[in-house]
Amino acid sequence: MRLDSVRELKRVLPGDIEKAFGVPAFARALPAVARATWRHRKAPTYFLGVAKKRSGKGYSLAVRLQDHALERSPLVEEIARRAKGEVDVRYVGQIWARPRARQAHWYRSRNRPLLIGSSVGFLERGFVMAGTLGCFVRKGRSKDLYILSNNHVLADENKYRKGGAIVQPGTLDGGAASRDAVATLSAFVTLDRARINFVDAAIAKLDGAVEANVSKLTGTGTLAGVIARDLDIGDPVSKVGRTTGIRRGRVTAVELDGVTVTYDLGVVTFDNQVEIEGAGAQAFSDAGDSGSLIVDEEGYAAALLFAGGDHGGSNGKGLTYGNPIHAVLSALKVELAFR
Amino acid sequence: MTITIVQARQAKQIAKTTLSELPEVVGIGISKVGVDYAVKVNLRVALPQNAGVPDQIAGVPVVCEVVGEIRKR
Repeated sequence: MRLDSVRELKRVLPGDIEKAFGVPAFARALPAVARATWRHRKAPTYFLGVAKKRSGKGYSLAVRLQDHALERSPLVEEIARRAKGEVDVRYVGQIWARPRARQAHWYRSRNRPLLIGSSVGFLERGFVMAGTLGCFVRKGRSKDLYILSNNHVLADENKYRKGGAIVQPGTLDGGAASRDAVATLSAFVTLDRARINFVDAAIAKLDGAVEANVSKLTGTGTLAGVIARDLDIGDPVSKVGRTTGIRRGRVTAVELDGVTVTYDLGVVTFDNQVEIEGAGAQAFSDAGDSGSLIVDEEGYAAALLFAGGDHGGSNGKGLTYGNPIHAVLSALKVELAFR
Repeated sequence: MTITIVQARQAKQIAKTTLSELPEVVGIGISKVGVDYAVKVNLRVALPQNAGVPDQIAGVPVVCEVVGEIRKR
């Protein structure tokens, strides 16, 4: 779509949609308005913007949802119809104004040496994202280090080119190619909608000059190695992730098959997954924590976090899903680096 | 007698053949009820009275939980 067409839709659609569905949009001064209004809103809300197409050619209407209830709703269908399908729909949740003086959490900042649990991601023009640097691995007897994270964090769901730059922090946290490139995509396990998958995993080779602390689990201890047994129901676990930092939880299910996960590329099904709930009143993870290394109580690597939902768990804060670490290391033919 | 993980695995296989085609089911695995291993059926949305999901399979308890839509994190 042309830029002026998107702007015109952005101008007229909120009024039409509110008349038809009674749901208000917030189209101006987004963060501040969204926050102020969130306190008083009576209905699920959304806002509109202009998105550049990922192909780099033309524009689409950005639809940002602040409530999951709007996903796949008639309201979104109507917006998509009016935009002739040229929409970029994403759930963003509530948006909070960031205090000016507040320093970013370390895990969303630039860290040298590189640290487990920090923000990382691929580079794509017109697209900002961030996931989590899970840990470091090696191949065979080589001393070369690789970052381990998810395919969707390092390889853009199969689309990123091998050799493409990986930045720390991710672009959502201000990472830029010119100063923050630390590694290049080396390999990934293809996410395949047509068959059963077992892992969402990729590795990126560190640039020789970039240093890494391979064993520090900031705030929780030291990475001890790879777990020798399978996780069991009730086992306490923890992780450090780019969005929620340190979170503790416990295993609620193992050997989960037919786990259907929604990606940008569509629904992907996984077998033999681990399920975790957050401890206390917190969720174990949130969007952006993908790629986090899940460790047991003694600091042994147990799983790679990749998915989650907002419902379920004994505290009602949702459940998190991880690939057993042995399956991840085996699929990529790598070994954990922890000393 | 306590139900073992081996019994739960066998019951899970039966559950997969009978339940995995239900569109509401988004995962079938192993959990625990007290000290007993159990089959866990994850649902995207609630089924009316868990329609079609038995309380037990081969003596192994079956627990259902609504987990919603699962997304990449």
